[in-house]
Amino acid sequence: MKPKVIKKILIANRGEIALRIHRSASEMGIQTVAIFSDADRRAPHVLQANEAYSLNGNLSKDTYLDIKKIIDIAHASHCDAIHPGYGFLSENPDFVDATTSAGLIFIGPSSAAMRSMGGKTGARELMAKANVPIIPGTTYPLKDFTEAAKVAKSIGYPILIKAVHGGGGKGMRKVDEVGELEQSFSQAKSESKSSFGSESVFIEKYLQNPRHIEIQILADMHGNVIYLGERECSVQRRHQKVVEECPSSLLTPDIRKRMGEAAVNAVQKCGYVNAGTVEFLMDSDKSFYFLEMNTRLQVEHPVTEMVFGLDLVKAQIRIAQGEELSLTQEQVVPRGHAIECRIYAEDPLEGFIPSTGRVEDYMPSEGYGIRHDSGIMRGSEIVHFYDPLLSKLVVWGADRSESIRKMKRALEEFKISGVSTTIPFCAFVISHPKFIEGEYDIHFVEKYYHPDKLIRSEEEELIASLAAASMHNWDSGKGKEMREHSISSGNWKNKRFDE
Amino acid sequence: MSVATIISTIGTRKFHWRFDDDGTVSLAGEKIPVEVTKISPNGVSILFKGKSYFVMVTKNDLNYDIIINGNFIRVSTEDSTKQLASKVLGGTRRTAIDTEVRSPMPGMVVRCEVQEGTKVKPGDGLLILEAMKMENEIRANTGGVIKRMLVKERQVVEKGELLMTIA
Repeated sequence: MKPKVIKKILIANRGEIALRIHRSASEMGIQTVAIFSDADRRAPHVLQANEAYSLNGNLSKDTYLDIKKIIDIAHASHCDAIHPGYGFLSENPDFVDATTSAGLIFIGPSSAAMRSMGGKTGARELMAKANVPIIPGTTYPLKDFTEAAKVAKSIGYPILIKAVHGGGGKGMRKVDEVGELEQSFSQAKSESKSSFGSESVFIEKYLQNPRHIEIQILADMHGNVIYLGERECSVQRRHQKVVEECPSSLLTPDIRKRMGEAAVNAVQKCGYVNAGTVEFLMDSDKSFYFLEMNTRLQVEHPVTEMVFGLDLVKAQIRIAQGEELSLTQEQVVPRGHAIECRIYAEDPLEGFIPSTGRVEDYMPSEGYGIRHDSGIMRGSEIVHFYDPLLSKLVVWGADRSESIRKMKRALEEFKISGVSTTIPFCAFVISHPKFIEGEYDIHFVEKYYHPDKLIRSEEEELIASLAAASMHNWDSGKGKEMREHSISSGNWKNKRFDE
Repeated sequence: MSVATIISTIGTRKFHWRFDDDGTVSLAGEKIPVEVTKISPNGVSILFKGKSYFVMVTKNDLNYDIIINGNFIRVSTEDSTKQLASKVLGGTRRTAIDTEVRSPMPGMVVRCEVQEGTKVKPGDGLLILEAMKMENEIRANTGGVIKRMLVKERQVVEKGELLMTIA
C-alpha cells in the first residue's frame, strides 16, 4: 500500500479540540481549515487555523452537524482529509461514508467498524465472541416482558435495563427486585423510543460500586495493534467524566496486561483501524467487563499522551496516511503520572447547570508539568448552543502524589471570571482523602460532594466578604480611592517602608 | 466626605464593611489593617495581615461570586449608604409619578409587611422575598403611601415583576 501524504485537513469541530488538532497538524507541516458557526466567529480555533469558513447559523444541526456544508467546504478549500475530533459527527458512520465518497480521507475508523460498535448489543456479541468479558446479561434486544423477567431472574437482581442505541443515561433503569421490573421495562422502552428512535432494550447485571477504566488503543492498516495503558475515569457527574488519571491507582501490571490484551483482541476482531478506546467497568473484586468502545479520540486522551510521550493526533494522521505504527508493544513504556481536570462552564453550587456569559479575566495556570488545552480566551462569549467544556487542565508528575499536588496548585492558580466553572469542584475532588487514597468509584460525586463542602475557612469567608464589598463599592463608582481602585487602611503600606 | 457602608452576607454570616475617604477600612466599627487593589476587571488583590490573597470577583445578579484559593464563595452585598442617601432625598424631592417597586430576583413572596394604604418612609421593609433558599427584605427607596399592592403571600414572582407602587 502506497502511503498518501495529507497536505491539508478540515477540522470538523470547534473549541479546545479543534485547536488541539490544529496544533499537531501544524507541527507536521499540514495546513488546517477551520469551520465556524456565527457565535464562534471570534473563537481561538478560527483565529489560529490557516483558513476558516463560515457555516452560517448557530444550532448544531445547521452547523457542526451539517454533513453537506462541511463536505462542500472541504472540497472548495482543496482539503485531502477531515478530522472529526470528538462529539458532533465523530461517531457518525454516514459522515465517514460521505467523506470517503467525496474522495477525502477520514481520520478515524471505517464506517463498517463504527457501525459494528455502534449498537450496544451487537458490540457485546462481538466482544463475547472475541473472549472479552462482558457484563452478564443479553447480547440481543429483548422480545418482551416475559423474556426480560426470565433473564433478570437467571442473572439475579439488581439489574440494569439499557437502550440498545442509548447513551448518557437515557433509556436506562436500575431494577432492584422483580416487582419493579414491569414498569421499569416499559419506561425504559418508551424513553429509548423518544430519545433514540428505537425501543430496543437489553439487560445487564448491575454492578454495585464499579470503577470506569478504559484502554487506549492504536491500530494501523497493516494489522498492527498496540495498547497504551489505561485511564481511570471514575469521577463523574451526570454520567459525564470530570477528572481522569493515568495510570489508575488500582491496576496491577498483571491486570493491566490482561485488560490491554482483551482490548487489542476486541479491536482486531472488528477490523478496527486508527485510535480508539475500549471502556471497561471494574468490579470491587477487580474483575473487569467490556462496557463499550469509543471509535474516536477521547476528551481525556492527553493523560495518556503525557505518560507515554506520544502525540495521539499525530499518530491518527500517520495511520490515516497508511503508515505503520512507529512503536511495538514492547516499546510502549509509561513514565510518571498524569491527571486531567475538565474545566466546564457550569455552576457547581447549582447542580452543575451550564453557565453562560463573557469571559472577563483569564489567567490559566502555568509552569513545569502543566498542559492546558483551551478553546477560549479573554473576551470569549460562552453561549448555550454547544457543550460547556472550556478547556482541559492536565498535569504531569513523577508519581501520583506529585501530580495531585501539582493539580491542586494549578487549580488554585487558574483565574477566570465572567462565567462559573468547575474549578472549585475539581479542587474539592483533588483534595478529598478518598481521591488521594485512590479509593473511589463511579459514585464518588453522589457519595461525597455537596455544594456546602466548597465553602472553606473563616478567614477565606472574611476575605471574600471584603472582596465583594470592595467591588460593590467600586461598581457604584464613588470616592477618590475607589477611582484609583486601591484602598488601604492605617498607613499599612507606609508602615512597612518605615520599619 | 464620602463614606460607604456595605453589608456582605455569606449564608448566615453578615459582615459590616465601612470604607472611609482616607482609605480606612473598618469591619463592624473596628479598623482593619488591609490593602485592597483591583488588578483586572474582576481580579482583586488583598493584603491582609501580611497574607496575599488574589481573588476573582464576578457579579452574578445581586450576588458576587468569589473564587479564593480555588474555593467558591457566593456573597450577597447591600449598600446601606444608599438608604441614608435616599432618606435625605425622599424628604426633599417628590415626583408626580408613582414609584414602582419591582422584584430584583425571581423568588417567592414569603411575607408582606405592608398593605394598600400603609404609610412608609425610605428604608422601611415592604416584603420578604425568598430566593435560592435565602430570605431577602425588599425595602422602600422613597417615602409615601402604598397605592397598589400587586402580590400576595406565597406568590411566585419573576425578576423585574411589579410588586407594588408607592405614591
